[in-house]
Amino acid sequence: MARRIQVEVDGVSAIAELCDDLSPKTAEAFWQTLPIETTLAPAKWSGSACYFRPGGEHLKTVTANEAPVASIYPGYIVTRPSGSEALIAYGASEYRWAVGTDYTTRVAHLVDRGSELLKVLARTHDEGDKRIKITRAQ
Amino acid sequence: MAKKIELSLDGVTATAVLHEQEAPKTAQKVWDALPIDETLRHVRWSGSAGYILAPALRDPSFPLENRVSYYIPLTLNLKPEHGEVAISYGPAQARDGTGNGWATHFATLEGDATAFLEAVARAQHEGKKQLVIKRKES
Repeated sequence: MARRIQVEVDGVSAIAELCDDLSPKTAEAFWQTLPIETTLAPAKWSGSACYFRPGGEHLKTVTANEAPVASIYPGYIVTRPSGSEALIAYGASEYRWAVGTDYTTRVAHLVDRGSELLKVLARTHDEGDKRIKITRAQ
Repeated sequence: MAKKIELSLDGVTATAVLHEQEAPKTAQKVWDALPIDETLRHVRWSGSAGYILAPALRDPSFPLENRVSYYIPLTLNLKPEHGEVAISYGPAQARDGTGNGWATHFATLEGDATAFLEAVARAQHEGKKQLVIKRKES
């Protein structure tokens, strides 16, 4: 059974499963980084998504993408190599920079109570930054 | 003498010059639509810029003039198909989910607009703000 994490923003929480099969090194490093509690900000190049800095040392050791993707489907959490940033999409999203499209690694995807959380993420477009808390699910 | 417009956002005011030579139809359309009082949000696909959607400027058949894809800081750019006016404060480009687009560069902020551009930038992290654009009478 896939490992599960709890994602909470603005008092709304949802459950996500780690992408252990697709991205075993990144998923493990992300798991070891938990708990994460930091600022969640709206993305400005990647469409309907928010980003945060996971922090910690574990993700720094994963320096290459695993099963790379450019499109970020709603409810997916992705990270960049070395864990410089992570994104969660709430609508149409593609990982982009000023110079164009780039690749990311899927870390987890929402599996339970995700729709309510996506509504909260969408509100960042109007309301700006929020706090995000990610923990290992019990 | 060139027509000028005054923009007010978050308690900060800046002045822009309309480019009547380079974008005569657009400059006139904007001038005729003033005052404009709309919600400014931070762009999601286009980088370092804020935008408003002005119904009075929306016309999918309206021609592009002084066509640009990349938004230079300090510039005001109209995508007539959406009535979208983007104001850039850093690297930015007319983009959407399908890729790169085009816009009409119809005005440029003059003088020291630093405080105004900082207010535009803050929309990413603080959320939406109200933008008022009116004619600047000499």
